[in-house]
Amino acid sequence: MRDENQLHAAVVELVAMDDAQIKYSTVQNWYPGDAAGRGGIYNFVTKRGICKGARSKISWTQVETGSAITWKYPSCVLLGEDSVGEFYSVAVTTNRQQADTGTKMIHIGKNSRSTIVSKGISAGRSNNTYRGLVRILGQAGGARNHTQCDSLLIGDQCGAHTVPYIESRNPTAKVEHEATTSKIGDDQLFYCRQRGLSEEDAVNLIVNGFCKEVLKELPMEFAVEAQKLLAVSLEGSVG
Amino acid sequence: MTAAMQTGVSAFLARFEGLRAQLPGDPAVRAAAAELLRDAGLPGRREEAWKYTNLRQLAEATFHEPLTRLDDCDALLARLPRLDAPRLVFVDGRFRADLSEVPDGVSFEQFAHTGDFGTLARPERERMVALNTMLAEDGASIAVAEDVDAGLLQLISLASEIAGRTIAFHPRHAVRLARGARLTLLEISLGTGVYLHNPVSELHVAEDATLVHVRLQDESRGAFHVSTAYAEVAAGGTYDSFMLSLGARLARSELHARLAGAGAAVHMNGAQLLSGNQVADITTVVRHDAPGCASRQTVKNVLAGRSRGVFQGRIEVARGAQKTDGYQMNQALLLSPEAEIDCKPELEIFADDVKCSHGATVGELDADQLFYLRSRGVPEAEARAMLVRAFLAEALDAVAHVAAREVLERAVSAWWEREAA
Amino acid sequence: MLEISGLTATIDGKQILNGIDLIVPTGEVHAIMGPNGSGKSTLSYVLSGREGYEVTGGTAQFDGKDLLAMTPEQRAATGLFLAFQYPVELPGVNNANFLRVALNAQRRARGESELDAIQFLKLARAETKRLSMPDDMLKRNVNVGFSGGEKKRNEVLQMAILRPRLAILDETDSGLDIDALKIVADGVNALRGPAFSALVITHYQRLLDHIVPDRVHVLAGGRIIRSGGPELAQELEANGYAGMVAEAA
Repeated sequence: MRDENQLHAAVVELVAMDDAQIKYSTVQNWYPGDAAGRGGIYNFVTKRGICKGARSKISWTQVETGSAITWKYPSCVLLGEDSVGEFYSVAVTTNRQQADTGTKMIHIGKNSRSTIVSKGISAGRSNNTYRGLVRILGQAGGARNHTQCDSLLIGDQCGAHTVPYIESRNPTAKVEHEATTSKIGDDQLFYCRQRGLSEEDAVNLIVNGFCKEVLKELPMEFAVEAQKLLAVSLEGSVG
Repeated sequence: MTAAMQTGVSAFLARFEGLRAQLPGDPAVRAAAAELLRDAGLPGRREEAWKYTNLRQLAEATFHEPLTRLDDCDALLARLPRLDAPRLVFVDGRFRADLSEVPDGVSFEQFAHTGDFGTLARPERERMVALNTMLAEDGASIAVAEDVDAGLLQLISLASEIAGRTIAFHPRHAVRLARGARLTLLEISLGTGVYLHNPVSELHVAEDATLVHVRLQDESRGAFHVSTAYAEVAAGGTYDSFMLSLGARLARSELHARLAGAGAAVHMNGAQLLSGNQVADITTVVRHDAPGCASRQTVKNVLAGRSRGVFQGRIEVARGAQKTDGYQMNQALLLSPEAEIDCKPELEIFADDVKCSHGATVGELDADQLFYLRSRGVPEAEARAMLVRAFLAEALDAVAHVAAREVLERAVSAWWEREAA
Repeated sequence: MLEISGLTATIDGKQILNGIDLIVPTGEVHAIMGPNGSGKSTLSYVLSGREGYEVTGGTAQFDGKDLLAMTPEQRAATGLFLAFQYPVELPGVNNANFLRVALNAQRRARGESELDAIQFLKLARAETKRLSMPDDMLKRNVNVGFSGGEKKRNEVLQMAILRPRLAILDETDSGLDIDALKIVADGVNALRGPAFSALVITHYQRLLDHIVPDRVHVLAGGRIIRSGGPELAQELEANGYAGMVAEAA
């Protein structure tokens, strides 16, 4: 039973009318399969939202640590004027996990704004991909997007990938995308250990710092769980 | 595959059948390329690499083979920069010794004589390269010997439509720099009327050699320009390229660079300046296959009218390519409500001790800067022009070779005058 | 007491320390001065256990315990603190949280009880105030966006909160203006007492005007070529290193 794969294929749709706000937070920790990649959940989820009303807001926050394979792109159609879409994501993959996740922000309404913050952490022999689309339509005057995608690699057998699509048809819109890839610095680890932290605690602290922008978007009790989950997920990936 | 892509390719296949006995090189290589095209047609938008660029117009056009008697090209020649440097001139894809000055210090042969398809091109992956492989007739094969500094060399392509006869040509170029060699290659494409220019180049940069490759694509506004270049850089070598894309109705410049030895470096900078209905696509892939290599890329797009700019850039870091330093930036300026930019910067990373980053910004001119200039008395239109030219000048700064940069600057100025008129 | 005997070390096979002999009795502050490339920073990294430095001979003991056999965090728990020449940035890691995790890890290792969040914050605020540092020092991320001077002050704040028994200050004075220099010196002087010792590594004499050492050692070519009282620092300031190095050679 544990050697087999199970499928989770949920659909979530959100609609926000005038001045309404929706915050949808997920902490996903399905069975990821064993170290050799046997078993685990296929987590193929459709999540989409529409900001129909003026000044409406949809905020997706996710912490993805489980599942053998995750494909998930929570999206926002920003139809209303001054509507706001947000996507905050932490995805951790270890062993042979694969996570391919990101968002779509479709700007239609005037002065619509979106923020994307994605933090990917890959360890073991896993692969972690951010894949996202920001599309600004011709009528979306004054639209704004800011995207930050950061990847952290732990070990030399994993992969980190960033695949953003940016399409803009309005000269008054402003889109900014930044992405970085790095590993935990030896000097950072030594600094923490000189202050008395064990190597594992130092890694947890640095990883939590790396994810902070996303974790602070979670409700308090979720955030505490999420931090513990990060620590458990990365146990044994260093050294 | 759509009907248009199939029809488009069948005319090329028919031409191949008519010509195949006379074409240089290994017939089996050409036959294999023809097979690929027969099966798959021209690339379509369902394919990820062509998601943003539609070849339908190209597929629907009818192309003829170049005439054997070439027309007078004085008008085009007059547009060329006057540089004190040797030049290799190709007209409608065929070498013209009478217009060329073959350089000292480098060896030059025609593809028409060698028929050497080289080792880097991948027709099985890139079908416009398969099209070139099937129909290539001529091209420049340039080699620079060990530790020779060959200075500046111009490689010029002129094309003209004569009496409504649209032509297609598929030059096959190769540049080989031996260990420690140095060359600045200034590649210029000009033309009039409607035609397809589909060159494939391969560029070998050996240990500690440096190839500076400055390209000016200033084709006719009716032309199709699809170029594919493959560069391979050995340990300690540098490939430093700049692409200025101004012309053509539809342009696609594809560059694949592979960092094959430790400490190699690649710069792949570029700028697009588009107006009217132009579509121009810069697609690059840089592959880090060795440790301690650096790649740098800044591409700027200035888009006016109903033009569409495309930038697709991928940095690949292979497992084991530790201490990689990769940087990529795309900045697009939309000057009109009908212009469009599509941008896809990608990172694909399989090593952990790397420093890779990319950025992309899309927007209009900075309102604060514009206001600052206007508050100093500069009229709005002039202030805008000043800022756009500053934006482009910043891109051209990447071209260190003074004479080559001046050629690009003059082309930008001429573009500006044409647009203003 | 810190006892170093015949210590030799290499980086990438290159010999940097050529046999260091040094004793710092408990309660004393010693200065190590030397020209660039003399091995000053290497000595501080070898004592604190940074990777990449290979000890090829000799011993280093702190209160009779073999420092060289311990991991960096075990050395920290024993009471060794290194004020870094170039403090490291930890994005997203809050300074107060970092210090609490560090302090509790050390206390746990020593078999002491951990401080809860409130106890810790009380302690941290008191130290911040005592050192005349702004409160937001604790709220900011570790060294991120700090100026050079702020980074050095943060090292001193960390030292005050972690209360080490042996502090190694690796060119903490470099790049500091006079006000910041005084704050650093006050931080060290406040800890001075019978149970605290320090090794102050510096290129210049000016820090030693504010932290007056019990002994001064001159390091050159990876070994100590002279030792003396505070007046040795004055002599160096007046005559430079060249003469002394030539004499020893």
